Amino acid sequence: MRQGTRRPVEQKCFGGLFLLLAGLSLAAAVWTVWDETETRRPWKSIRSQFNAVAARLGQPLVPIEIEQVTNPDLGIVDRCQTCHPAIDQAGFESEELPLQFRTHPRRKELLGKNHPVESFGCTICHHGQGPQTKGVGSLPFDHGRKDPYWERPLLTGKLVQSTCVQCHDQEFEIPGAEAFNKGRRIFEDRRCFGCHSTKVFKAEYEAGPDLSQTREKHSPYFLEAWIRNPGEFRPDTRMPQFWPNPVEPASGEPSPVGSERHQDWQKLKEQEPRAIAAFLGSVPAPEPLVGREPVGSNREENVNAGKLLFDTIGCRGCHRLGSVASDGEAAFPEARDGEAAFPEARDGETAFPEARDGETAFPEAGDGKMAFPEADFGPQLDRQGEKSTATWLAAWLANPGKLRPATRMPDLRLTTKEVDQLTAYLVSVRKEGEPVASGRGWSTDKALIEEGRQAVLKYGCYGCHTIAGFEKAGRAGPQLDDFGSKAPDSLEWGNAPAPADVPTYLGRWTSNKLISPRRMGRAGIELFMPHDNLSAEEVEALSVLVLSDQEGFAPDGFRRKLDARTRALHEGERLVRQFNCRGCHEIGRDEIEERDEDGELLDILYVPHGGELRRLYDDPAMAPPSLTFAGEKFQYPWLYEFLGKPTTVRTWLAAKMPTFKLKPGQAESIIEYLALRNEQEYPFESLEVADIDEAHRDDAIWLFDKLQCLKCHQVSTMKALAPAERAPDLAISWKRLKPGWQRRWLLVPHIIQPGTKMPTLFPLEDDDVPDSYTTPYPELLGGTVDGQIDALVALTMLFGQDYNLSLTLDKLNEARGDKK
Amino acid sequence: MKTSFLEILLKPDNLPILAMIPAVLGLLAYWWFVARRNDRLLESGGLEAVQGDMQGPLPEPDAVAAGAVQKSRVHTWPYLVRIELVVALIVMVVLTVWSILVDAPLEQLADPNRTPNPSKAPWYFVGLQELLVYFDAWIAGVVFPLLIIGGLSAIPYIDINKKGNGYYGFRERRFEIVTFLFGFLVLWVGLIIIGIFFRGPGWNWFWPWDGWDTKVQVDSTTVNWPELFGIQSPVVASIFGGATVFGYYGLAWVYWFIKRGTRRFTDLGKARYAITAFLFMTMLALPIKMALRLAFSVKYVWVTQWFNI
Repeated sequence: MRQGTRRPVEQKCFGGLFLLLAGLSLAAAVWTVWDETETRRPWKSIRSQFNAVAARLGQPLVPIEIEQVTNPDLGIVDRCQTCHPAIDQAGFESEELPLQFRTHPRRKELLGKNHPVESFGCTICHHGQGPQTKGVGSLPFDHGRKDPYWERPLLTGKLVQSTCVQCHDQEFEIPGAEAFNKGRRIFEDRRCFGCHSTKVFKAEYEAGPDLSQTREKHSPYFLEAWIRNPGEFRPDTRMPQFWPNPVEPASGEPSPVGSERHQDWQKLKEQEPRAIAAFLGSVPAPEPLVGREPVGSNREENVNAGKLLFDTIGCRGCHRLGSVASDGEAAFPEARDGEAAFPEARDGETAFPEARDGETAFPEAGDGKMAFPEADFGPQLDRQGEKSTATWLAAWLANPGKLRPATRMPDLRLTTKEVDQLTAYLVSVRKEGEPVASGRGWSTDKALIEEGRQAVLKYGCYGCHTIAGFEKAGRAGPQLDDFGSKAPDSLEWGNAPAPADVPTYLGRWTSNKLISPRRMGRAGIELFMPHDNLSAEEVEALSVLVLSDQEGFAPDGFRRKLDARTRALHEGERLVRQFNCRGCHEIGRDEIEERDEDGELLDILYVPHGGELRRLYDDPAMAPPSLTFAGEKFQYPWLYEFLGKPTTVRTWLAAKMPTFKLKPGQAESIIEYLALRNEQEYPFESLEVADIDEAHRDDAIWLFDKLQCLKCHQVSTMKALAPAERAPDLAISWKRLKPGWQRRWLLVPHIIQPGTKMPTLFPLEDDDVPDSYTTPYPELLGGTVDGQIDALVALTMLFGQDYNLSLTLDKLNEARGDKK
Repeated sequence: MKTSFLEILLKPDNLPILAMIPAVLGLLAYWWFVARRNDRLLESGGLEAVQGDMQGPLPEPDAVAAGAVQKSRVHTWPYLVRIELVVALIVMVVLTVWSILVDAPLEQLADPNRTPNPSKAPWYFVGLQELLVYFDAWIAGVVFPLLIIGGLSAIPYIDINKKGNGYYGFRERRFEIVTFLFGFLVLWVGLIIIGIFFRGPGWNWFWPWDGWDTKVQVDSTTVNWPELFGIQSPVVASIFGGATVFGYYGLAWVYWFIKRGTRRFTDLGKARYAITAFLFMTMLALPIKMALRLAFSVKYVWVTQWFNI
């Protein structure tokens, strides 16, 4: 043991060690503070940069501090404006500014009106990371897009519209959310709802036809070819292709001919449709088709009569026949408010009526193509004769609702003769040399039938079609409920290469899936979603729709509660679309003012919403009437009765108002919609008519006579006229028409009903002075236009009630004769 | 989605494990160094002097400071407390710097409908979680933890070896030290390392060169121990399994029978031996079962109507 006076080593070191460690602790503390206040606050320099921009633009500067919106009801803490200070501030719209510092592109429309940033914040619509002002770990801030644990990354582009429905869930169409509206329309149009359910769209009708009558409706060989590739037979069919050309899973390129994959595909494409057809043919109908064999289907005159009927009775309001979709483009319309189907004129001629003063004109798109699509509400009927048997067609046309209770096809109340004629025509619509569908020759091969049953199960045919034995099969595709809240890393990318950089991007997965659905499968997860050849725009719109099905809804105070009026308008619009009223009738119109270089008003063009069926008639007065002012025109009880059980008012029209199978309340909804469109009181209506005493009544009758009303109109059955001259019976006016509308009608019939035969009774004194109406008979009824119109309206309201017009007229004529 | 081994290694969650490996090995090495030195001193008789020194009064701190006294024993203050203070300071600085450099590994909001894959226990329980691969939950999660706690508490009562008090050594306590190190290093730390670094999505085994792939699906077909011998009947199988288990524990009785005369065993007594042997055999059963599972895909050794082992 060493003895000495030296202090042990550790004793000496302790003082220094303490000092060193204390210094290190202090340094660590300082580092902590500095790190928290400076390096982790990138927004400080961003706000400084913004101030430089603001100073350049002469706008007020912002303090270097966090800007924050909190809203406990919505559960948000949004600091977005810290780095986007100008989002709710005018003056930063210039596109030269960095996007970060620009004003919100729809500031006035959205933020200014109903979505104030102070209470809504940003993330409720845009998602992203509200409270976050810096990146996580070593990653720079990216609105949650690269953070695998952030469940609601920023929505960019049109995908932002997928959050609108959180609050706007009651609206039929959400103003401003064009992509969402379009997506919802495509979802319906492409019958996505057959297989997939979603909160944001519920259909009220079947996605595809009931297949109960397959055995009697189709020929086996037709059905097989149809199933194999429906688009080949009928390019604009809704039925997708279930055996699309195979692609290499890794590259997405088409598989080379002769490769194993290609051969397998060919085998399946050959075999499965045959098996499915055999199976469908083997399913007996629940009750046999009570078809009457149509008479004279191959007689030339029947075919011709049927063609005339088809063209004029109104079939073309929904169906297209005899035209080809223009250069293979999708036949679906660009979503526009209130737009409806548009049949192509026969023999390719454009039947635009000549644009006259205040007259309807159909605008042409810039490139000379028609701005309106062709009727695609119901199926295209080209080659229908190859598709359906005459027996089935006759039974169907006679009463569609009886054959398929859920169909949207209305009953046209055809006579047996008309049914035979239409059947004859439709059977005759075939490709040269193709035989008529026969409904005979179904396979009885049990193994093949069983194989077909398995294939129906595999491809989920029962999703869109009612097939006996599959009633309890449920949805064929996965539910899309809450899809927009799905965790992105839980999605299966299958053989498609998952993006490594942004693994959390739900929108990307969705568009990939929509473009090539089956590529998202892999060994063990085989997918059978059919390909639908969507355009890029359609993919985007559908992605918006699918993503908008998110968990929960915004709290009550923030959801848009529609007032009764708006709700009625939305519901009515929905029904009008559902029943395709605009296929035949104009309901609403846009006014386009044409001005010359000096801004002088040249002309007003009316662009009708719907009613394009009129182009089929040489005389516009022969077309179904415009309903733009229907709410103003019709008395509600009469309209209600008419919708339930249409009666013929315009006996001279070839087109027929069909009987729709309205559910309880739907007729009321439609009437309310029409009334509210015209700013009418509902449900009580004003039927005020001016008092008219005996003496004035005689004057009114005299005026009525002088204006030659009876030249075209009739009162009950006073006289028979040539069809083209006829006008509605005035004997029902008292219960059919509102007096207010009649007054306007007498002044400006050509505006209310473009192309009407009703002449202008009270011409303008000066074309440039509005409302300067003059009467051609100043000697009667005080000579004022108002007085004369009031008297005429009051008179019409007497017709049809206990009032004998002919007797009075005779008396008057006598008196007149005496005068002469 | 594939995660490379390097990413897993450097995940903030796993940094403590990375730090634990050198810490455990370093302290083990230091202990081994001291233990061997003391063993040598013991051999040369040097330790006897130290042991003798243990009896008298403590030397005065000033005398120690002046180096007048050999410091085989010293006061707590300041000699121990200041070391603890230094360590506290070091820990504080390290933790502060660590917290600045590495963000807390927070994940998404907890959602019982969407659990992370793999779902892992806190790192210190990952070893127990790994046991779930080999045993039913009631054994791995209830019986083993109880036995570990109970066994550790029992050590003072069953360890009658008085040697090594006040100093480290290896030679005098071979059985005790080897048994403890086996339990701690292999069955606790080792299983934690396996659970953290080698168990990926689906709790499947991933080698470092594999990378974690969420899509990997492993087909594992397992058999029960009696089936290895072609026994199919459930009754016979459960009798056979029970015989295996009892036979295994019976080995302890055989050992007692062989060694019953030695001094060590008579000192220990039957009760203490029984407890020690039971704990020891149970501990050894764990790696045996793991080996059976990994080598022969054995799921259960003993299947009965009521429980499976």
